[in-house]
Amino acid sequence: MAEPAGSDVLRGTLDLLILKTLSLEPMHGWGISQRIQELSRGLLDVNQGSLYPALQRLEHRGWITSRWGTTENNRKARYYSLTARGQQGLTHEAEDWRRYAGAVGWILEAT
Amino acid sequence: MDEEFRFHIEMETEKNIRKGHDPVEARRRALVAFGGTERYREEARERRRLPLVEDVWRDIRHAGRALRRTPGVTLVAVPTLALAIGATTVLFSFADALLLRPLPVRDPGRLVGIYHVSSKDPRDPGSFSYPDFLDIRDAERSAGLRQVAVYAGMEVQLGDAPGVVQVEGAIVSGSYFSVLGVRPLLGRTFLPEEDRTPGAHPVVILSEALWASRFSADPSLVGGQITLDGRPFTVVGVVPRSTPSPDIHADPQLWVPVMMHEVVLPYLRAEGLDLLGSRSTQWFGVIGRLGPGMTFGRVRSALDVLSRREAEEYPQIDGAWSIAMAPLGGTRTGAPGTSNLPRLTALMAVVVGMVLLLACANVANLLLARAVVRRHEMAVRAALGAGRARLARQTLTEALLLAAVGGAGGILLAAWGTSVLPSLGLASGLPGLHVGLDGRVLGVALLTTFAVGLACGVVPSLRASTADAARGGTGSPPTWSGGRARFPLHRSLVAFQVAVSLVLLIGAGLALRTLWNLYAIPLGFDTTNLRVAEVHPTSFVDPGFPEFDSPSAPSAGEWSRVVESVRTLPGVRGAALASIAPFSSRSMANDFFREGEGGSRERFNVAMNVVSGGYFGTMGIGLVAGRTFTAADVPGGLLVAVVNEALASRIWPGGSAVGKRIWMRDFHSPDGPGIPIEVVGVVSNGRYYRTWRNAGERPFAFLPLSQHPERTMLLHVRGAASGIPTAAELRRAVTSADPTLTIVSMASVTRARAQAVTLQRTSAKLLTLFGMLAGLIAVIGIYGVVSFTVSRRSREIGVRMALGSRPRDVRQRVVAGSALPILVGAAVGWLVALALSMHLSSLLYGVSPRDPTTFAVVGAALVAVGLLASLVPARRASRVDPLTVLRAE
Repeated sequence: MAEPAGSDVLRGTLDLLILKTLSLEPMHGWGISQRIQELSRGLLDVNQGSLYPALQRLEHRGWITSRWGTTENNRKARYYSLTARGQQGLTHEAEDWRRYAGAVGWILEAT
Repeated sequence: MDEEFRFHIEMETEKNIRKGHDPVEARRRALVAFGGTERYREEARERRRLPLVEDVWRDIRHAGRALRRTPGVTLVAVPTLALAIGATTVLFSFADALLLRPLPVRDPGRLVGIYHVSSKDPRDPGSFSYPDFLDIRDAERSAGLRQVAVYAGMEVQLGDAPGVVQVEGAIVSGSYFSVLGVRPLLGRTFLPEEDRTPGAHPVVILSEALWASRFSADPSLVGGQITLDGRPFTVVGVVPRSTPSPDIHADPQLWVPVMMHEVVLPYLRAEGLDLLGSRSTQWFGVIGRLGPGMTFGRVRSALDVLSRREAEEYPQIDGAWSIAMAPLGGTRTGAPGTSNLPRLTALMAVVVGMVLLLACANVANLLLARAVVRRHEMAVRAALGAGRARLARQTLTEALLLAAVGGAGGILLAAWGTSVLPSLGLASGLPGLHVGLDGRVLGVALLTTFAVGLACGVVPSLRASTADAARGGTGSPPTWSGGRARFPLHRSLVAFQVAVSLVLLIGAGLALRTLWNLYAIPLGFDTTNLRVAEVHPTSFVDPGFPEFDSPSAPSAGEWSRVVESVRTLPGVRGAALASIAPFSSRSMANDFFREGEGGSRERFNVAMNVVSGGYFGTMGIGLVAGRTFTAADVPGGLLVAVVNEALASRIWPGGSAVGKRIWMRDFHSPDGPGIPIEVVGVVSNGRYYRTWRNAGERPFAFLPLSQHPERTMLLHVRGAASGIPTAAELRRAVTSADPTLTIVSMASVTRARAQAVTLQRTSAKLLTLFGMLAGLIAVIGIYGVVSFTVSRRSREIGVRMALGSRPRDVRQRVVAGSALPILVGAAVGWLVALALSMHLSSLLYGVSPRDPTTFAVVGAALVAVGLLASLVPARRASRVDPLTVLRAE
């Protein structure tokens, strides 16, 4: 019965994860949370309370857009997709993240 | 958004079902995982960039609560602001109607007034005769005027008996409405043929106001008939309410063609007075419209040429004259004779501006006092993370809210104020001035309100923003000793208020003393219930055309029959004739000679009046020596005169004048010895002139009507207190005594006297009204601030009293605390008034602009009232029960 224990997405990386997910294909909010879970092999759990505000924020920034669409099961859902600016943002953020993660790694590996 | 969430929850539910949960449990889990939807909604909303609007709304609600919590402040501040904003709005609507707003006509910039200006009285514009107008009309094209029109005011009886009313109207040329630039609301304006044949077209145009009030706005009235002076007239049109009168002193409600003048001005017909043919009947105002492409300057120089030609061709007995032109469209104050109005408006603007400043200071002060008390609240909010800007904005919002409520009240007050403006005398004599609230005025009122809100709020809000979490939070109550050092601001505002209201009140004091002095001048005669009616022969002869048959003036016997006939009317206590009325702008003077020792001749300029026998008795002029005129003073006999004491003492100092002889210069032989006249009586001095305040005790001689026949006389009628005969009754009495005579107009002497001092009366009213208002605001301010501080210091007062302070000491301390700013303010106000009052000197009479009495009395009174205002809360403070206060801690 117990859900697989996942950690909450680290603050500040949620935007990056959303952008990455949407760079694969346009997706609705629930799909994004599922895809993040899948891609992280169940390790990362997106808190819905952060997801929707983050989507709004990104949309306001012009990095993603949204429109109403239909799912495979013929249900109405709001699909988010990446804009050109969002694509650039993703590149930058991903680079920043790799640099940061690498730096943290070096520190942790220090003896 | 809701739909998006629902989708999310449904998907999650399905996933849970796939995992094997039953649907209810699956949905519950989905909901739990999602959490409260309301929270996301809130967060999403925050992100939608509307926080400013919502913050402002929250500020307003908060401000509303804060103002309700301190009803004292609100109750003082709102009426103060309402009065000040209302006064400003009224002033603006007046100034707007008078100076700023163009007349509501087509192309007002091209409308001009054309005036007849006599070299004798260039400031008092005259009217034209109809032939003058025709000359101007003949030259209109060459002078560059598109068209000109005439108008003349009249009063007409509207309706059939018994429902007859007197209505102000005008006779106008056919071109009048097209020159004025007014289109009819219904029907048409006058046609060219209605301008040609006398008496042929009984048509009338009504104003919308008259049409609505008298005929219930019945559209079928156009084409129907109404009765004017007993004759049927066809209504051909209705013009809008906004139709302006070119003469600001008139407000006609109906117009008939000039050619119908014999019907609507019946006494002219009775007199055979030739309104349209005579050059000396100068009754008509002229307006014109500039021709296409013509400038004001070019038309004026063209008119100058015409004017010189006219003046040469038709010289006037009273000196040279010329044609002047003034733009009429923008304002009507370009017309000569209205020059006082901009000056009065400027005075009003200064006065009202001061009151507005005062009100702002007052409210700012109250808000400051409250801010002091709310230091604790502000400190707590600062400690809880409210930014300085946030706190400042909150306080500013409170001030703006107060201003908004006050402004709403002010606009209501202004709506009332503009309707009572005429009865306040501020717009008296200006019926043609339509003052009212419109979009422009409301816009200015709103701007004023906003500016006032800012002005009241800025200082307190800066104060609030410096609230210090650490210091304020300790909650140390304000004390007297601390108050003086820490809050000099609200004291200086009290001082400022006292100063401003003192300046206004000193102005009011000076103006009132002027008025008092003007009315206290002994006139030497009695003005109560005294009316003057102008009596004309019905066959009026044009002095400009002596070649026409000139009937002789009525004989002394005929004139005395007129007087006797009027005397028998009920309500008449005395009647007499004179050629010049009191306070009239006309005067008459001649040189007199006295035979000195050894044949030397001394010359005196003497003012004169030709009067009938009963004049002195009727006027209440006291006889000092000798006799007045009698039947013995016949035309063929020795000429006689009654002189005043000033003349008697000048010519025969120390001796009796009665029986002495003087010589009056003879117009026919100015260098001759003059006409001998014997002085038969001496009367007390009197001041009869319009400029009576400056005239002093002029030498004056009265000549008997019996020896100096005149064609036109002024009937002076002294009425009983119960009532005086109407003009119609007098006219009947005059005509029954002598059918060749009739009455043309009647006026009250008291009113003539008041009109002579309009400027002084109006400025006195204005300064008094606003001075009192300012004083009231200042007193309210002092009272408000003192009682507020006292109530917040009740704990300290309680402690002091517990420690042995007597109530009297408490009272003294409170009053002394407010005495300093009041005294400082009074001193500053004095100095400012000393500097400003010189500008009033042209308005003043018999009082120096720096009159020490006025300065001292007004200053002392204001200080006393201010102290009294602080004594009331002081008394309340001294009744504080120490036990109650301390227990409350």
